[in-house]
Amino acid sequence: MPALAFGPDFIIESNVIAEFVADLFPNARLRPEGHSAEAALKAAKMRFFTEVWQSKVQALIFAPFFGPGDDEAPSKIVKALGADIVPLLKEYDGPYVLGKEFSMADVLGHSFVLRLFAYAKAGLYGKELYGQLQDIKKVKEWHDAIASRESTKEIWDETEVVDGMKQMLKNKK
Amino acid sequence: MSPKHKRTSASPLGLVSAVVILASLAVYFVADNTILASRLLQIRHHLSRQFNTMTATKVSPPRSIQLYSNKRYAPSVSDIDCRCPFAARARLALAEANAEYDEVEIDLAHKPDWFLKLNPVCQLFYSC
Repeated sequence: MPALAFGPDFIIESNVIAEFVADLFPNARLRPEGHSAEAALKAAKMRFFTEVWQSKVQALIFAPFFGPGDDEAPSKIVKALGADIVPLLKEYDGPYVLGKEFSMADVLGHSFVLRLFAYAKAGLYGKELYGQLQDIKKVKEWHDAIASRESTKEIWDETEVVDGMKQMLKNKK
Repeated sequence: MSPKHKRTSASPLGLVSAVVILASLAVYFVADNTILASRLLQIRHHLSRQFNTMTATKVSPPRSIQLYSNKRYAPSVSDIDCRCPFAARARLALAEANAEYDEVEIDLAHKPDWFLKLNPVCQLFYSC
């Protein structure tokens, strides 16, 4: 869990830190702008997406790697993405959760969807999942849009993350 | 009458010269416009580059920001993937904001006391 020092003050919990950054730098436009009904609705959609993503998918991504391991995880991931995530990503026209607008929902989900695709590509979930992910078009589109952002390129190192997980799995054996 | 007020009479030769001069001016004007247009484009490119460079400059927050996380793999910790997906959220928000901040790595195997006090539930994967 990260901690952020802001002068003498400390903020903990990654979601809280990210929200704090969005408040501190409104120019980053990580939330729908203005006080219109449309903006309020988008904010609600954005938060609901995060709820669903974190409760239905996030834990499954690491499920095969921790503790006793869950062999069913890859099929559960495919099912959850299709049933819970795709309908939400279809609500707006564009690759992100709010369509063409990049928002907090993308920030909060990005590190997990990037790892899902990276681990799948490296075959850490077995042979099938990566191919199956390519067929879940909306999710693939979301992943690709996030992966190609300049900000993502600044902070994301796929090789390092995949090698780290491989090393961890090797040590576990 | 002083010479400077003397009028020259129009002659066929003068008329031809005038037409030639006007035509040259027209050609020059069109050519010059093309040059002007390409110069404007150059200026626009230059300005947009300048603008991009300007926006690439980091934004200073009102107080200094340090992000404490474990960015790299720590060999001392064998059972967790140390490239923390949680810290990445904070990092991406800061990158989107183009914010100036320092990143301080925490060794998960030797968490400093102040960090544990901040976060009493800090352990294993969830401490990432």
